[in-house]
Amino acid sequence: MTTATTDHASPIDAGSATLAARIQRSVVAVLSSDGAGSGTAWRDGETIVTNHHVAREDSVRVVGSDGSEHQGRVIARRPDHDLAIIRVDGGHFEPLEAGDALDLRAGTAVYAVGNPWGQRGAVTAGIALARPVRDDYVRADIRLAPGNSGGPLVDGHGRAVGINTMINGGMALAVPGYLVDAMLDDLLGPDPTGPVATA
Amino acid sequence: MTDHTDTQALAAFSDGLAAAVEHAGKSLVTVNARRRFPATGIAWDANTIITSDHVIEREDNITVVLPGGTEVSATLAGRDPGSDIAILRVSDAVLTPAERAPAPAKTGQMVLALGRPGPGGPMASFGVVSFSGGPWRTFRGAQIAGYLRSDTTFYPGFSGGPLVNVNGQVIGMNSSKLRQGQGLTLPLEALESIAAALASGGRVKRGFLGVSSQLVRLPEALAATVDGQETGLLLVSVEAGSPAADSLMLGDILVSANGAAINNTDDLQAHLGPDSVGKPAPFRIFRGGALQTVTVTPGERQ
Repeated sequence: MTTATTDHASPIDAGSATLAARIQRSVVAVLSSDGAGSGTAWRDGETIVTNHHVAREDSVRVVGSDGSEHQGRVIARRPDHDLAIIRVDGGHFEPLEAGDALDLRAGTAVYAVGNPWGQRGAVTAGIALARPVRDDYVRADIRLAPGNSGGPLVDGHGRAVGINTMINGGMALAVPGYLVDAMLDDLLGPDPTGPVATA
Repeated sequence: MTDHTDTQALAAFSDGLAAAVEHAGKSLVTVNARRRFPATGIAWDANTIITSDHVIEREDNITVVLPGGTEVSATLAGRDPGSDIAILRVSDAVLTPAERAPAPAKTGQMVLALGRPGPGGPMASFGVVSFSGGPWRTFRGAQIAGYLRSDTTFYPGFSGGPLVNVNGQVIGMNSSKLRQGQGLTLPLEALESIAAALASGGRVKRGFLGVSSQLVRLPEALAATVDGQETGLLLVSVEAGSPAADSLMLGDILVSANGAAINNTDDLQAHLGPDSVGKPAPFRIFRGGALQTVTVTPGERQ
């Protein structure tokens, strides 16, 4: 049997691989004495967003996609949104472009990167299951596993729309990105590079 | 920042999937006919909806919620538990009929399983057609022209919803109940024929003989008299007063009906479709080692 090979992947495949590699650069492992999960560089090079349930201790170890190890400290928590913000002083992580979860349509391609079962930078893809509702989880038809918690849900344009938090009956539930932004605005002041709101 | 030229095709593909969901979503309704969880229905024509039979737990007070959010009452126009299909009707021509796919499904084709079990708009799961199977018989005895299996997820309330292609055209209807809870998709061709029968007669007739049988291997000497056919059906009971009682006996081995070989129970079921009821048919049998032809008129399964 012979195998056909080509150097030229289809544009969709090439785009998928480009996107996956881009997301991987923004995802870290978050390690504490009671477990491991994922974290997402958000807004600037020193700020990592993860789930409250991933970083229950205030002092955590953060491992970058390049293998570099850092000490991080939790500077804010919202247990009701299952969010925690980690500061890594002197960090140079690459934040993802932020998207609006409420712009997702059912069927939009979504990607997740995380550390399921300890596997670093694992990529899965799927679609938004439904149009998100304000102040509710973003639901996605995508395969996640324990260890994906704290990693980003990213749309087909490469924009972070949520933080993967839970699996329920095979569907993925992500905390919407605008709740992360609201928390960071409270903490750090409004994002100077964020979208301009008109009223 | 992401290199946008690199990911343009992916973004376009993603937008295309969302557009497919929206297009098909115009023909999806929420079906309220059971206590616990609503299900999905597909607008088949301007006032007809096709859905799964098992989601219809009550025959009265059925309502459907249209894509725009309006709730209207619906009547049960026909149901076939065998194939898990039911037909609902609404009084006014308020539905947008689902667009049908122009060609049968192919293995590997990208598909979306859709549902509208609640007010939040259509829901979608992505996958590919894993394989398409040939004629099969449901555990309730219905003979169906084929089936599709995909790696999409049928989330709660997805039963009665469509499997669509990337253009949002219907290629089948999903049921989480058929095949003992594994879930499968009834292909468009099967839907069209069963829906037509249900719409005209209210239900699909199934032929009935009143026998129980076991698959047996034919002894070589007998096989030689029926063109080398290897197996047949040994009758292990014949119900008194049934359509079979006048002409078939315990111990007979069925080997053909209407001139076509009966190698197994699926072959027999293929001769007991809607058209078989009340129509005398020649059955070839071995009785006491001798080949005979008897005439049996299938009744209707109740």
